[in-house]
Amino acid sequence: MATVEWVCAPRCYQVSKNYLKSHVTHEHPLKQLNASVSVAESNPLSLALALEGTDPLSKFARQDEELNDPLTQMANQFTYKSKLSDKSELDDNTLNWSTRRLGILNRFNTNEKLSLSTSFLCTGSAEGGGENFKAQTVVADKVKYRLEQLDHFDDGSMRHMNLTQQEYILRFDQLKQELTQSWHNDQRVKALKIAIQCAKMLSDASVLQFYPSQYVLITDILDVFGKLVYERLRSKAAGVPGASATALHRERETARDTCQNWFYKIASIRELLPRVYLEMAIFKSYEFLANSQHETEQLLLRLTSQLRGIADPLVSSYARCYLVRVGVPVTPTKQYIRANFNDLFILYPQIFRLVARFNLHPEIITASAYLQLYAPALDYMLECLVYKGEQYAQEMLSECKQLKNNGAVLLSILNSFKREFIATNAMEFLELINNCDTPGVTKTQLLRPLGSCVSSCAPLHEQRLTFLHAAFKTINTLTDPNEYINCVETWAPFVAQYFTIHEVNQLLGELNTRMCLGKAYEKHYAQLQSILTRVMQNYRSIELLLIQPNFLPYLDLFHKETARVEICKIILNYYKQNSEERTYDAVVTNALMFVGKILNDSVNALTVEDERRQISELINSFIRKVHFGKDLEQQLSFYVEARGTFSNLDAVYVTLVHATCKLAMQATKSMGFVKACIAYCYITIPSISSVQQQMDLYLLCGQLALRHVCLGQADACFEAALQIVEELPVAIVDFEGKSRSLERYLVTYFCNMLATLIIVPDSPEQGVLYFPRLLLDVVGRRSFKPNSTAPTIIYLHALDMLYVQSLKQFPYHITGVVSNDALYGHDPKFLVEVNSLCAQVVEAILVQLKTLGASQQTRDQAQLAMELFMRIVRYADLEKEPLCQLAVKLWLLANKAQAQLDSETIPQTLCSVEHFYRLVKDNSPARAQTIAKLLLRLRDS
Amino acid sequence: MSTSGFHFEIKLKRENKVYYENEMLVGCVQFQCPAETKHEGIQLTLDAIVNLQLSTKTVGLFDALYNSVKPITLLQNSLELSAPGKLSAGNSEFHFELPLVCKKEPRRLYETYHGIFISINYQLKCDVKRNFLGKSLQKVQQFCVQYKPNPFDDESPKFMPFSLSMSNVKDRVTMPRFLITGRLDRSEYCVTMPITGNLTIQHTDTPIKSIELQLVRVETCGCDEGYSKDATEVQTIQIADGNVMPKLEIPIYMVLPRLFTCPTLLTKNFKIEFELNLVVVFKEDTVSENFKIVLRRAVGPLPSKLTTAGR
Repeated sequence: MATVEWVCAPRCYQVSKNYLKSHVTHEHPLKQLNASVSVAESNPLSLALALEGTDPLSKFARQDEELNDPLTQMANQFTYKSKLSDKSELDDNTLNWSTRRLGILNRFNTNEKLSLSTSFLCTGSAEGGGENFKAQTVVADKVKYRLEQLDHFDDGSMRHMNLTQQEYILRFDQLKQELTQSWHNDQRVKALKIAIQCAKMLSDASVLQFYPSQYVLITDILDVFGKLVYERLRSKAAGVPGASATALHRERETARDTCQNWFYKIASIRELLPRVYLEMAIFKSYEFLANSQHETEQLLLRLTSQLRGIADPLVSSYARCYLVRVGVPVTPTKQYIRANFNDLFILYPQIFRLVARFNLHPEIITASAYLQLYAPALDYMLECLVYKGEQYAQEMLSECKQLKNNGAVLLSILNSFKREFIATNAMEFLELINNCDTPGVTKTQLLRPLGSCVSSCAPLHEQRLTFLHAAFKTINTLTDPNEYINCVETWAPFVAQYFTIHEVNQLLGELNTRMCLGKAYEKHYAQLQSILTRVMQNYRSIELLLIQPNFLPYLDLFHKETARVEICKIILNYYKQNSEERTYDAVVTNALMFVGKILNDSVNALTVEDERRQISELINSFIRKVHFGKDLEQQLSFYVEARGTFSNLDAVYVTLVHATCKLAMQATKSMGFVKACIAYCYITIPSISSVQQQMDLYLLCGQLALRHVCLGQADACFEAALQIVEELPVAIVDFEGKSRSLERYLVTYFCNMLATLIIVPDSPEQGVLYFPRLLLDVVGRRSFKPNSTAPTIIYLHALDMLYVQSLKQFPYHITGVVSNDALYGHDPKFLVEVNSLCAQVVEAILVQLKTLGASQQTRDQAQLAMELFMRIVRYADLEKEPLCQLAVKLWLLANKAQAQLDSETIPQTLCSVEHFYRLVKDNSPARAQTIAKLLLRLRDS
Repeated sequence: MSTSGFHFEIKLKRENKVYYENEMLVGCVQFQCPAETKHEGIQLTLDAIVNLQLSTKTVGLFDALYNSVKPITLLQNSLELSAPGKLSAGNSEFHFELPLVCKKEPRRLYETYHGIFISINYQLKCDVKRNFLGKSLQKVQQFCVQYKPNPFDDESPKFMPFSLSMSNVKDRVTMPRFLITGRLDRSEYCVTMPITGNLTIQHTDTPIKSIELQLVRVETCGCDEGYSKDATEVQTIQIADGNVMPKLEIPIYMVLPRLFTCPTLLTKNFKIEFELNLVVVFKEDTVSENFKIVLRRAVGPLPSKLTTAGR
């Protein structure tokens, strides 16, 4: 192709920006979501209402959250319930039971065989577990098994099974189904028999560890039975809807009779325990017989006293627990619960007689494990007793004091009483704990709940310090490091929340010395971490915490790498969230640098990307917070230090460069300081591994240098930026593992670069238009994807830039920087250079268009041809025939592919040409004429 | 004439079928006929009989079978509801009223009772006589008679203290040393109220396995040739399970079974009495103490005006 002759035409019109009309608004597309979220935060209830069906995404998110977090679920349920009505508030105690149930089932497990005797379930066992059972047994067992199977055909024969825990649970599920089924098949007597057999099994506490779970399983069945009876009576009493008054009365009479029959039937059960349990199970049905609160109360008291006949303290405690469970929904009085405790306290020494025996035979069960079996029952009963009634709390406390071996009760009291009550009597509790010497209950067990109580609800202000000293006097007597640290764990928030930094420091120091002994820290990283987390969570000022002399030594306790990194992350995270906006304290920054260094050092080639990102993010937020005010030098030296410290983290370097650039912008007077900043950046950037980021940062630094009229530095930056483009990979892999082409990025990057280069004056050492030439060279050398439009687009923009160079005055300047317009003063020699460079660019574009045409990319080709056509019209001197011809050719080329272009493209181009014509018409009629001519030629062609 | 769809029953006006002496037994016999039915007369009979039986233990099998004591008839009353004729198709009712009065010896109506050797039954019987080809049809309806409640006077003995120890046992050598004290709240109980009391284990050498309370009926059938007296168990309930804490007061509480108890009855020909046995079961031995109690009807079944309104 012949060499293109290019001559830039001067611009003969004023450029004015068309600003879009703007108006004030309060609406935006994201507003609704924000609004509902903010409401949600203040009130979880309205969240449920507000988002019901409106926003499926956040609904899912919310569901997930709730599913993950049973506490929130509970809390939600609780608030929901309590808002509904007073009535539901009354029975939230029983509601609590359902949450306890699972806890008990999970906590009390066993590997021992459990025995279950029932005359039902024959079919279930023959089908389900039977096959497995057969396979495992020896011949003798097989015979026995077959005989047993024969026995099943006799109705009502009892069968004893030894089962594992899973099987046992499964059987009870089957029994439950069997019971419901029998009931609905009108076999009420069978249902009753099942219930009785189940209740009977409650007297079997042979596998002690499992008893609480056994209790839960069996009472579940009893509850089902009680409910069935109640519902049936209720529907009987309600009668047929629309029945007459007398008919209704008769219905009620029969319901009452039936109810009475139930109680008669149950009263004749021979054994005590099933009899009482069954009566309790259908206790709610007494409402058809007894009509005054007083009567109900008497019934409960009578049952309470009947339970005295049960000798085993464990069985008896749980039976009492069940009584409270059925009593609470029926009546608000607490007298019977109190009576139960009276009896329990009489029974209490019996427990310790057993404990003494288990002390001798720890292979059966350890004393402490045995005492813990009581906890669920005692906790529940205590909670019901003091619910909405403070008068009993004090009474129980004083009664507990009188008791010998009061540890177990004390523990339950600490776990179930209101925190406010415990807080007001904190000293008393502490004294009790000090005096408590119960086998099977350690001081730690008691101190832990007390700690968490006072942490969430502190004692009176005046008492706090004495209380704390007294408490720690006790805690420090614990010699076992495990016990010690478990104790401190719950007390840490209390110390952090209500005391000065002095006490916190002391606590950390104490921990340091205690945990160093015999390398105790090795086994307690989790606790050490949780203590520090709680302290940071609760202490007001994290900065103050960081500068404590015992803080960093505490970190040294974490010898294991992972634990150490984890705690450092937590620290920085808390710093990020809770600290003040800015930090200038050198000690704080030093401490954080230390923490950050640990994290930085933990990063190596094997570190996963996400981990690296997290760590960088934490350190970045720390760096952003460090601020020395007007002392810019110190700030810079901090950045220098940070660069030295966080050498493994690219993202931190990026932040440092940005921060330094920002710093340079703040410097108003000293040129030297700015240069130092730029030098810092210039040195830092090459250490970053990502070429893309390097390019961006170089450009940014160059722009910054230009802004401060540091031409040499600017040139160096631009040069470095352009040199490194070669190293830019064709594509990068993003987070999702997809490869993303960098061409689009490259185009924008060069546009940005070109826009900057407009005002960069030529350096005397490098000759005219050095940077544009270099840029074109880089673009020319770079291998793009085949058929890519990217190089053409860059060339088109380069043409824009070069055209600006030909203007008498550039559209923008930086004060102090003498750009090429002033430098050359529109010198014709310079213009020749510009023109020839333009010609080169146009040639390059034409080559690209040709290749596009060769590979059938007609649409792209046409579009780009149109672009070039417009530029020729605007920039080139159309008096020159070759240029004019070129324009026409391009027009024709584009029109050939008209079918593939957007329908609007050609008319719009014509429009802009016409618009341009009108622009130049007034100022330069000659040029306007050439354009008109061109238009005519286009029409003719 | 087909009899397949022929259906009838005796209905009493009172839902719970409980009557007092001297009351009127009011009710009706309801017939349901698919078609017009012929009959040879309809008769209603009221029977009240005390059945007595000698036990094999005291009298010997042969005597027991053949020499049983004559039943005592308290009431026998019959009423012809309809002369021979026809029952029209559809429903028809015959109302009746019968006085519950015993005119001859013993001149009173005993409470309904079902025991082992003695039973006191009240029943209504309706016979529909048919022509010689058809079998006559019969329906029976039982009902209960109870005494009118007669509240305890305050002078009745307040409570019955007791104590159990080795001295209750004949063979003292193997017996463990123990002492249980307690009391029954009264010696006379009402059949509708529970038996109450308490006991306390003062001390014991061997662990107690169980403490049970046994309700026993003592039935005596007397006649000229001799009499038989038999004690049989009505029900046993456990009041303490396992080795209960000493010095702890344990309640005694037993609900009397409705069908198998009645007020203590002493007549010329027979007696129905009740006793309680307190049984203490040790690992190897059992010790028991016997209490004679009197049952009465002091309170009605339940205040029947009690409503469940507002629930």
